[in-house]
Amino acid sequence: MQLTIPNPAFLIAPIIALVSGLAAGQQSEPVDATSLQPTAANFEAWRDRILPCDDELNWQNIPWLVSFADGIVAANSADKPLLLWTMNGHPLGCT
Amino acid sequence: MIELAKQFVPATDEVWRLQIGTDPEARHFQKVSEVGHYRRHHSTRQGIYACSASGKLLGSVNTHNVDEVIKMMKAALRDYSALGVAERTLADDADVLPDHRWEESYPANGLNLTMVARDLPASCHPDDPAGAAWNQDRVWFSQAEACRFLPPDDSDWRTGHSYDLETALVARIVRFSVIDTVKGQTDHYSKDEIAGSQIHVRVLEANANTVRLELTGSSRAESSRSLGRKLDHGIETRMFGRAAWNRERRSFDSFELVALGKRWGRTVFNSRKSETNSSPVGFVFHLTPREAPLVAPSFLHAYGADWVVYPGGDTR
Repeated sequence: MQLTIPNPAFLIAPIIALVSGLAAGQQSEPVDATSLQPTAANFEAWRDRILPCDDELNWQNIPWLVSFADGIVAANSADKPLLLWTMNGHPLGCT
Repeated sequence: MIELAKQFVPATDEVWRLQIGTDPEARHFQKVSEVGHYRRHHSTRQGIYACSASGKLLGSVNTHNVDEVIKMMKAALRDYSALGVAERTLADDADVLPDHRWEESYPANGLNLTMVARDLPASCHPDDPAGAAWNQDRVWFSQAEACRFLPPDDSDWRTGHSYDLETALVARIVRFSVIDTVKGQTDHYSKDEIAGSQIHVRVLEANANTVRLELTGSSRAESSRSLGRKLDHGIETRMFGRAAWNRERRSFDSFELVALGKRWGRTVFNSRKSETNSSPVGFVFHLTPREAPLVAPSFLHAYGADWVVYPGGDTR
C-alpha cells in the first residue's frame, strides 16, 4: 500500500513479522503457490493472516473526511486549517 | 502526529480527478497544489497539503518521513494563526463542490465488500509471517445483483443444492479485485482475460430466516499489456468462503471469501518491477463495516452496470 502519511504499522511491520516468525519457529521452505488451497479447515487462519491487524490500521484513527470539498467546508466552519492527504487512488480505498 | 492532526480538519481524496478536473472542487484544489511541492514540475500532485478554506497554501510535502510531515504541520499552524479572516475563510459566493463523485452510485441496499490483498509467505503456510505491504479496495453489487448470489427459484433454497455463480458476478470479483494491488495500483482485467474463472455455490442450510452458503472456486487472469505497454502479468487463485443471506432483508448478514494463489509479472504502476517472478498472494473479501468511510471501488467506472452514475448524470 502506498502510504504517504507515515504509518506506524508500516514501520513496525518488519518487527511484527520477525517476532511472529520466531514465535512460530523456523520459517518453512518456499513451496509452489499453486498448492495453496483455502478450505473450511484453514480459511479462518488465512483470513486472519491477510487482514490488517490493529497496529496496521492506526492511521485510520485520524477522522479523515473523504473528500477535499468536505474538508474545505468543514475547515471553513471550524476555522481550522485543512490537512489534505491525496494520492493516486483514494487513500481510504485503493492507492 | 494524531494529536497534532486534531488541530486541523483532516481530509483525504483521490488526486487525479482533482488535478485534471474542471469543476469547482478541482479548481479550488489546483489553486492550492499549483503552488505546492510539485507545482507544475511533476505529472502528479500527490502529497500532504495544509491550506486554509480559502485555498491559501500553508505547506505541502510528499514524503514517508514523519518528522518532515510534523515540521510542515507545525509551520502551517503558525502561519494559519497569522492569517486574516479573508484568507482563512471561503468567500460567501465561493463554490467548492464537485460536479460528480463515484460515491453517488453507492448501492445502499446492495452488497458492499471490502477486499484486502497481501503477499503471502513463500512457505505458503499461514503460521509464517506474511508480507508487510497490503492494500484494500471496495467491491459493490446492487441489491438486484446481490440477490443473484442465490438461486432464482426459492424452491432451490434448500440444503445441499449447488450451482455455479453467474458469470457476471464472478467477473465483478475477478476482473476488478483479484488483481495485484498489494504494492500499488494496477490494471483491471478484461472479460476475455479471466476466461475459466468460476465460483461454485452450495447451500449449507436454509431456514425461514437465513440461507447459509459455501463458496468455492478458482480464478485465472492473464494479460500481456498494461496501459498500452507490453508487460506480461497474471494471477491465479483458489477460493473458499461462506455467506449468510437474510431472507427478510434481502441482503447478506455475513460474507467472507478467501482467495489464495500466485501472481506474476508487473503492470506500469504496481511496484513489481523487481518482483516479476511468481510469488504467493492472498485476498480476503468481507462485508464493509457500516462505520467505514464511503469510498467507491477503484474500477467502478468500468463495471458496466446500469446503476452506476457517470459524470453528467448518465447511466450505461
